Amino acid sequence: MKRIITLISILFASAAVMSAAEKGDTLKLMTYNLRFGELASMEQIADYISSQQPDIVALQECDWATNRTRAPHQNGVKFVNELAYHTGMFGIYGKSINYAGGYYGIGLLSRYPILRYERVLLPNDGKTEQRSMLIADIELPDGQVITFVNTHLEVKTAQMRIEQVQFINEYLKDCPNQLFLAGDMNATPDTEEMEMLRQGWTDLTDRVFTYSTSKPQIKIDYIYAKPAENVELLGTAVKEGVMLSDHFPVISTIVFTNK
Amino acid sequence: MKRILEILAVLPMMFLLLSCEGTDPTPGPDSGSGNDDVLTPPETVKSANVFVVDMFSTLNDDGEFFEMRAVESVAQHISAQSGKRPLIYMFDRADFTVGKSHPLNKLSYTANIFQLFAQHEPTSATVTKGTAMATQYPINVYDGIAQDGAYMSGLTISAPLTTSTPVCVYTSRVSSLDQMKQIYKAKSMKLLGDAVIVALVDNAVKADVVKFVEQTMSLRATTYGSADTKLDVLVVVPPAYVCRSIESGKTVNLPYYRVSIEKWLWE
Repeated sequence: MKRIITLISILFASAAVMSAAEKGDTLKLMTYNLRFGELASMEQIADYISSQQPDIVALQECDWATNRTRAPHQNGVKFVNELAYHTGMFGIYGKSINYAGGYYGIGLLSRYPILRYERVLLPNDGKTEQRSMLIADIELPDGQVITFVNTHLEVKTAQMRIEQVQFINEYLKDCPNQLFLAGDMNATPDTEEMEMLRQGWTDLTDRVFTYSTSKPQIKIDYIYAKPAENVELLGTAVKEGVMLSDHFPVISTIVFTNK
Repeated sequence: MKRILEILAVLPMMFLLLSCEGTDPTPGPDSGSGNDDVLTPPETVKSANVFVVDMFSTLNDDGEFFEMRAVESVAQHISAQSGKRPLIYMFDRADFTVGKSHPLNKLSYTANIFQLFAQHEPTSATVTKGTAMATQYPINVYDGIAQDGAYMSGLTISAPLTTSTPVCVYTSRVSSLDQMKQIYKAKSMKLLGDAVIVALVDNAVKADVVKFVEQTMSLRATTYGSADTKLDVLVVVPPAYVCRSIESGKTVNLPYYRVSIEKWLWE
């Protein structure tokens, strides 16, 4: 009897997955702040990413050939290039600032070729660190094009983050494609800036804490979608226990149907 | 009273007509778009305003370029460049296989190189054919189109000319006139500015494509190839640019075509 119940459960689960897959593209999206590689090698991070088999990964705190004293093992390393090399994915880089002889910024890995991309600097009051967003158009195997945006918002002031969120919304308002926005927003879900985001975007993540890995106390890493009606969330998880950075990676699996 | 008002209304128009006649009393040749001399580049090349693109290809579409060739040879080619180095290195048929490290990943992993992939065809779940592009310059904008079977992608780089100029260098594989028409539809305005195309065109449609580029798109087209090859190098530039030369070369077993483009007309 137990075996029959197990078999029936498996059948139902398979049917659910197949039904979702038949409806559109199943995409596994990940966001991961790497903390400039201080706590792990690129090979370790790449191994972890490969093990999860994501389609698109938003990476924050990525160095490009810096000589950072806090991460001497990463000196000269071009994070995105190494991660692309080790994962077999496509890698693009967006410089936010010059730093320690190289660049500091954000990156993106994609399982599919990137049709076009743009690095856009976010509003900055001159007193805080320059932040940016990477906007990439990716054509999926069924021919549908999605726009995936990766960002890392200002850490110190809420006012600056609010302006950055407004800027992102304004910048993307005429985008004709299904949009995804992922990254380290440096803001918890109850803040004004995240409330602003939720007015236009649907959060594809849960409320599990993403920071810090040594003492998880807040959630600041998100994956959003817009419009919501084209996207069905199959599952989301904060990968607690992955100690390769001071953030946990966040993964959401969705089905996207262009209605 | 009514007549006075009518006269007053007509007076300014008469004044305008008379003043126009006064400025140009004799009809003469139109010195605008009808005059070919206006946008003809000088014969003398100003090397400071020239940038170079190396297109690696067999021009025969005979399989994945790096299947029988070592990426290390490319690294040697890049490091051996002296003087004004190529702005971009392009590698035709450096295809992308999902889950497999792209051939140029190794190059960008070891050298200080940014690399991107311009797909020639719809994204496949396994292998997508395309041209890889490598550059030593940071890329802020990577533009592209996928429109009704036409694919074109390009990097915007600040070219080190007399004045540092953001130039978008596109690449594509043109196998039909329709594809060029789609490119025109999507990028006609941009291609009139600081943007060039260094592409490959099927020999069979070359003449039609060149004619379309020159007559409909109002751009300059230059091709390089032979009757023995399936493809030609196609260079498309706006009026302010000129393709100065396309020369064939070889490094180890890697055939390439060096395209020299000059921005000759500055505002």
